[in-house]
Amino acid sequence: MLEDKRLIWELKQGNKDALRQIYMEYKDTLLTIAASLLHDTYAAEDVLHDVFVSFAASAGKLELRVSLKSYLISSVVNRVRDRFRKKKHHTVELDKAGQISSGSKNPEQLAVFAEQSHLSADALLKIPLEQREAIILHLNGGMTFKEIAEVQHVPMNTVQGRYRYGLDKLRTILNGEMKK
Amino acid sequence: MNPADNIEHTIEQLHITTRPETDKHILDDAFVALEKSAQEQAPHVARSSRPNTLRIRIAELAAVAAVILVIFTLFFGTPAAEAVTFGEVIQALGKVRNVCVSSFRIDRPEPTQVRWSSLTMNIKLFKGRKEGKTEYALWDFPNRRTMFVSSGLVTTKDISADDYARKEKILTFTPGLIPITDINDLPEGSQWNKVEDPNVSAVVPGTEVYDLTYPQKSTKGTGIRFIKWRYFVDPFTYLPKRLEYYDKIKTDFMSQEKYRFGKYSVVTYPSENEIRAIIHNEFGPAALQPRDPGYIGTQPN
Repeated sequence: MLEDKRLIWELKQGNKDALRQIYMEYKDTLLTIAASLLHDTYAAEDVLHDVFVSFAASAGKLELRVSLKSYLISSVVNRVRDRFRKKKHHTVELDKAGQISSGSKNPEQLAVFAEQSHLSADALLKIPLEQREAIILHLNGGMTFKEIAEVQHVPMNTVQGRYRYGLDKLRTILNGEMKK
Repeated sequence: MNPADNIEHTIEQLHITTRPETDKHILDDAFVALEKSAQEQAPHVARSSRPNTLRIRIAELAAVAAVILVIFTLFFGTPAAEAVTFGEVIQALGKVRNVCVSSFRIDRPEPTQVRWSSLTMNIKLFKGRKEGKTEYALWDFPNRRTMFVSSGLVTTKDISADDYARKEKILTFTPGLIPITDINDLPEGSQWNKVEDPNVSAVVPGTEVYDLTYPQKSTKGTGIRFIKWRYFVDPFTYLPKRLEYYDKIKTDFMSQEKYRFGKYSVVTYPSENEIRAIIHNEFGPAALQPRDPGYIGTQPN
């Protein structure tokens, strides 16, 4: 948190290195969240672009009441919601851009991982957005349920419920896919 | 394997990286936006060179209870106006979410133990050596289990309810960085003084050095033991980067008898991802994963 404050302070002085540091630290997490919510890496890159340009433009007036990570994730979530509201969003499969990484896996594991990721990403798109947000923000964003509750403006119990119901639905969907 | 069996793990493993051309495009546009923002803010910044830092410090200081202020006045009167107070160090440490403390004995080049604490992940990780082998122990509170690895062999054990409460209490502060958990617990006669010797501060460039000295009753009888904790503090964040531990027996602070230097710690503040990478590397990808699909974990508040 203190490192966040230091970076923000430097950013307010117009320090580009601070902005670069923030971008490099959070870009992949934010892109993964946006892509998982939108099911579209190209649209997710647009969201990432808008979030960082807007963040830099408002640097002088920035007053953080939460961690920098939570702030940026909230910005991504808000932009994703805007896209769904405006219906300007068309899904493109996640693995089209070939950017999905999976750590150190051998080719066979990689193939299994790719298949599982593909099925999971497809299934995620079939559950309500608020449940998808709870799952993605918790698992990919590393946010606590309390932090997600602040992003979603609902009590923590509601977030936990959305997370649980969302996972149940995903399992049902995926079990159905496997039986086909 | 059916992906429904381990859906949380599959989603958690999903990681998408930006393309280099995307990074360049976004950063170029963001830099332009930042320049515009800096130009608009320029008159305001010129009036006050440290507005944000000042506000942060005022807010933090306002939150300190009156009794602590009295203690500061009595025990921590600082010789220089810009000196860091012990209270500021405690406050800064209180906000740390992730920390790594490497403990050394002065006669050994390798650390005797390395401890990582993460409040964001709610875990504690230890690294030590036994019979020439490096061993790691992980306290994984969200999954209520401990994991241990030695010679590549991982063993896992549940944390009992009693043990959970005891271990969780330890996680809430950073042992080894301050001698007390409450500033009110400092013994009467405690002192906090800046060390002006440039040779000392050169040990960790860019830091200011402070000595916290306090008396402690000897465990063997009525004698008094004097303890000194030497803090190498980052003057901007108020966080210690190195600590040295000294003691001397049956004398007073001002006596000529020298303090004995026995141990020291090197302190770093890693990111959650850095700690996660160590855990994955030592314990394998299954570490930190929820223990069953329905388990939603206990998150730090």
